[in-house]
Amino acid sequence: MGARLGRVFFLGVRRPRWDMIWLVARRDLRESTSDARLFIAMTSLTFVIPLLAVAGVSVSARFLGAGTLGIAERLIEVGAFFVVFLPASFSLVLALESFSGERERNTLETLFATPLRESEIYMGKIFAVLLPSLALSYSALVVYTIGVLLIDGVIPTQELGPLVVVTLAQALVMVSAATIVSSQTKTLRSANVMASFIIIPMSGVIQGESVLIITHLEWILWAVAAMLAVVALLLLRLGMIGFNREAILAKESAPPNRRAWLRRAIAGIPGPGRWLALLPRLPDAVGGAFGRTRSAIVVAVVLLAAGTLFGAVSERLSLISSQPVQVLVSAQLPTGHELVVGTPHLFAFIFGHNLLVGLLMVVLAPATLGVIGGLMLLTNGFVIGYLGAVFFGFSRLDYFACGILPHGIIELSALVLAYAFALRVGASMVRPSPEGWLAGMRLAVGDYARGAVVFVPLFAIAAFIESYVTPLVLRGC
Amino acid sequence: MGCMPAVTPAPGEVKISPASVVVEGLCKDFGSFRALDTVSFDVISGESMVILGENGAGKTTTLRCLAGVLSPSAGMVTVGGISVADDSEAVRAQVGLLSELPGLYERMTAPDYLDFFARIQGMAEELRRERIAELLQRFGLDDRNDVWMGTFSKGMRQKVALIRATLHHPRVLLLDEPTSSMDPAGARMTWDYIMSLKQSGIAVVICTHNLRETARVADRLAIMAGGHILAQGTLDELHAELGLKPRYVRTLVPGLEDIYMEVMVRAGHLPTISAN
Repeated sequence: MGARLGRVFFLGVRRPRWDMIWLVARRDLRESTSDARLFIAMTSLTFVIPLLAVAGVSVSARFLGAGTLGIAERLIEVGAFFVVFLPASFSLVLALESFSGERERNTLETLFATPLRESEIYMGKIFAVLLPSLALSYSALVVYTIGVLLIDGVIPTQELGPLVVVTLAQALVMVSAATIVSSQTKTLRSANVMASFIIIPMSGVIQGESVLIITHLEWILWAVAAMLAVVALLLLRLGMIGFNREAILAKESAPPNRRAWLRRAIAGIPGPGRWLALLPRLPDAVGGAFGRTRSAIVVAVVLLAAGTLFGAVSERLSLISSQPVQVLVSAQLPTGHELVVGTPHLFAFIFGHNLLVGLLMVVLAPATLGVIGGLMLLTNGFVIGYLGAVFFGFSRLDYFACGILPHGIIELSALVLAYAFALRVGASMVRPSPEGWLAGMRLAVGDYARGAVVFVPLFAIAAFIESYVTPLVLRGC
Repeated sequence: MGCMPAVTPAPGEVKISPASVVVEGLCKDFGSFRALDTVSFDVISGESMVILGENGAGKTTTLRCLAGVLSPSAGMVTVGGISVADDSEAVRAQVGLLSELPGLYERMTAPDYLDFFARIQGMAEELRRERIAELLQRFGLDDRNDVWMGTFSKGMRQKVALIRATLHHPRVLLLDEPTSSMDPAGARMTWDYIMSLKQSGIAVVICTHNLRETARVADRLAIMAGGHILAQGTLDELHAELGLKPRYVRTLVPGLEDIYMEVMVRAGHLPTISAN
């Protein structure tokens, strides 16, 4: 199983030798720990911050006084979260420096002239950055836990497991993203500027995670960790495929001529005559696109089903409180029969909304490797499963089916197709075709356009049914 | 002749001894810029080829293609019978490259640095230790074994980089301006070392602007400009080809270099070395 996963992960890349990875990593580790000032700063922060956090939490708990144990516990848990994250953020700095720094010091060519494989250099750099950051993070967590135990007599046991895993996943995401930035930029300065693309989304993730801890939904951290791990693996693969000694050493022969590029791009757009000439070949082209997207369609169906199941289970096991929804549904049930048939405005709104979702899926696919689109589909499934379970609780699954099925079958099919084609665009970032990366990307984008010939009309039909037919069906339920 | 697609030679197609360099119709493009245009030459074992040319002539790109760091856009490059396009990893194991800017890891000592590269080349521990000690002593760097290379002068860095390039007994040595930062004594020591490697059977390709040393070490010459080889051959062949008549020049002997060496030797800053 592990060997098979390894084969998939290193598909199209010369497989690295572990002794060489370790050799590269060990050298980089020695260098990063040889700077006494940096080393002292990193280690002291690792130990000082947890101690300050312990003191802060302890003082706050005493200030709040007796009877506020719940708030104090929350503070302890959130404190643990930040104590772990701060040292992990060092990994970002080290990773940004990994390639662009070597390039600036002219040491990269020497490394490239050895029999080391690209994958060995790349993985070696990743390990060299990841290991010290994780060591510091986990040391900080140990210091913090001991401190909290000694002073407050509490251990945040519930959070420790997910915290350890989510820290690893977070550090891996930051390192893999920063290494891509570092390997693709010419100077350390531009790498630092590009780092905002990592810092901003990661801040969002971290804020979301703190909300989960504060609201006692720590168990969702496991799912967040799994999602981050998948993103990190995809980023690692993307970085490894794009890491090419030739491209890194190649000089920029001329400044980019954007006007000429734009002129060429406009000239490449086919005219109306060419579009008309393509029409007779459309059925074959669409059929071919569906054939190439079979696996992605299966993935999309599985994601939707998993989301639905997850939603239903969450409601039934009360993992997420459904009380507010139950109030809304119980208010809706008696008035449902009074629903009016939709208007053109409603049709336009539903159609436009679904179209926007389909478009966002493909627009965000290259940057997120299809993950955002997958989350959209998962969320759709989750909402359906969750609401289905709520109606099941009222023994009114029939009413739910009347409200969902008429348009839902078509709308969800269109959504699955839109995501499957978008997923191929995202996947072509990390799995280049034998004809090359650009050719693979062009084929995937072209297939999305061919697929749109099917799923856009489906969106329109679903919107029409939802606005004009579903209300009529609901009246009869 | 234009650039033909990059090719991998069939087994047995390589014309000369396996420990050699064969370049045929090599072209290298960077986007729309053609850095090398149908470059062809070969170097056999124990031979030195010096490539001369103005800045931007394509000398460094040629060396990078031979080292397996860059792949040819067209044409064929084989090193020791192995095609760069086919197996650049195997080519890199056979080659020692000294680049023009020998960037060293500043926070490493010379023995640690050399040991790192010797490990990559798969050298056994005992051999690594012996070879590193021997070469550091030969270049007079053994008294700085405990010092970070960040404190080294440019010439010392170039010596360490040369040791790194030759540590693993490469079959082909590629040198880009090997003595550009060295003092006269260091340069002479380096050229003597390169000559000794050549005599031991290593094929050497050197890019330099130093015409005086070229005349001393080159078995054959290639003169490049704008990515093309304008002329190549031995000194005698080039004389004949260009119709140049031999001329005699008067040289002051002992020259400035000899005076400098003598002063340094007498002051005890240099060991007694050959004046030739």
